[in-house]
Amino acid sequence: MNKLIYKVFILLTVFSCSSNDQNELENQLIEKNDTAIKIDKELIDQLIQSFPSPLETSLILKKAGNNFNSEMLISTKKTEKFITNYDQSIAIGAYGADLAYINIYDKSFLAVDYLTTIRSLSIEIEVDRFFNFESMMKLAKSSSNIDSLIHLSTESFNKMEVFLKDKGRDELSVLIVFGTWLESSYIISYLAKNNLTSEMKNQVAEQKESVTKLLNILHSCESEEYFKNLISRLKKLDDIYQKVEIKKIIREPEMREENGSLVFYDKSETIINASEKDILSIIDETINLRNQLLK
Amino acid sequence: MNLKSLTIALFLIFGLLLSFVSTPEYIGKCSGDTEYKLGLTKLNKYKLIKDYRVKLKDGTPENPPTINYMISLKAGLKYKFLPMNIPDNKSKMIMSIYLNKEKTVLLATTFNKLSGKHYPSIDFNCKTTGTFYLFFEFENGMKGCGVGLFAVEN
Repeated sequence: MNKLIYKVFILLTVFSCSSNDQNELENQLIEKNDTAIKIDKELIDQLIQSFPSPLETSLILKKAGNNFNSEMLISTKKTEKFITNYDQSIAIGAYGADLAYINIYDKSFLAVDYLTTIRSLSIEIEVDRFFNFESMMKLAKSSSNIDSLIHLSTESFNKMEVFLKDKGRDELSVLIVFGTWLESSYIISYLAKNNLTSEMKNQVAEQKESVTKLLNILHSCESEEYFKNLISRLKKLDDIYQKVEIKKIIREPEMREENGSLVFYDKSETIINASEKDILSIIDETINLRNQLLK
Repeated sequence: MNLKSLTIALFLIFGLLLSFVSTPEYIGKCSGDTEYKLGLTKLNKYKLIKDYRVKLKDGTPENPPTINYMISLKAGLKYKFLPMNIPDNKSKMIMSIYLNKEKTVLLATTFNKLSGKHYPSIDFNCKTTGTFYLFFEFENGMKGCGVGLFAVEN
């Protein structure tokens, strides 16, 4: 027994030393490459997190006086067309954007179908555990507490994002963000096409920053053919956006204490310079891209 | 070899193995589940966009440890930033919005440096759509743990 313990000791010591040496060598060899990946990964994580929530887009549309329109949303009957995990991730993001739009307009009776679809897709990419579908379904069916439904949906998507990040499945996070943006941008474009007010023109133009960010994110995964294809499709849209000029004049916000809370009033200004022709081209290209990938 | 010797030997092996495991210098998250739930009750008409679990190590007032996140704000919407501290904190968590990562242009903060007053939350009426930086730190660069809630008015 003494000999056995001694052998285990020696073995562990030898293993540890050789392992260390080898790691050191490997580290020297891949150090530069690893650092580059880490830096990129941190930036990509930040960029993913920085995308506007579909709730915000829907709130803006509602505030701008747009009526609810269920016809433009993706059908929940055609989910079988999303075969690969990549397609399913884009679809989850897009259905999530539609769900936010439905909820903000207080049409929870429609939410049931969207929740069912998100559930089936989330099972495919193994993130269904983050959605409390039973509670969400109950809330949607009862139409009693839309705020709770909105909150549970947001919480579920946030948890899923954290999980995918921690598990190193960044490529799925990227595609979910892409799908969410694409559907939100499509809704803006669809509504703008039918009623091109100056407010809606600005909404279309302001997607420029998101397109630039998305291209940066997608480039981090471009070693895969799927992502290369997405980049080339999005590049067409980006080319038109290059004709849009957005100038920001930043001013110090005004600060007021109201009911014990501090309220900041932004005094900055955004000047958008875009021709109607370019905005219409962007609208058409956005609708085209969304229909190619999601319809 | 008796049981005692075997136990000592196993302890030594275990100790040896532990010595190869490094302790992380910096942990970016803490649970904060209680503070998160409490924070949600304070949002009222605001809808949660994201929650940030923050844990920072001790630093100095001149060089306080910080963590930052990129956030998107949309013109025409009103946002709420709500810092929630765990009871063990010796100093309060500060949430600040900057125009850039270099912190050269401060847009809003939950802490007024001049008066030394901490606000339980701040609201931000946004007029410019864009990407901003949300910074977290604890007063005087002290260590602390908390949850930051970022929400939008319905």
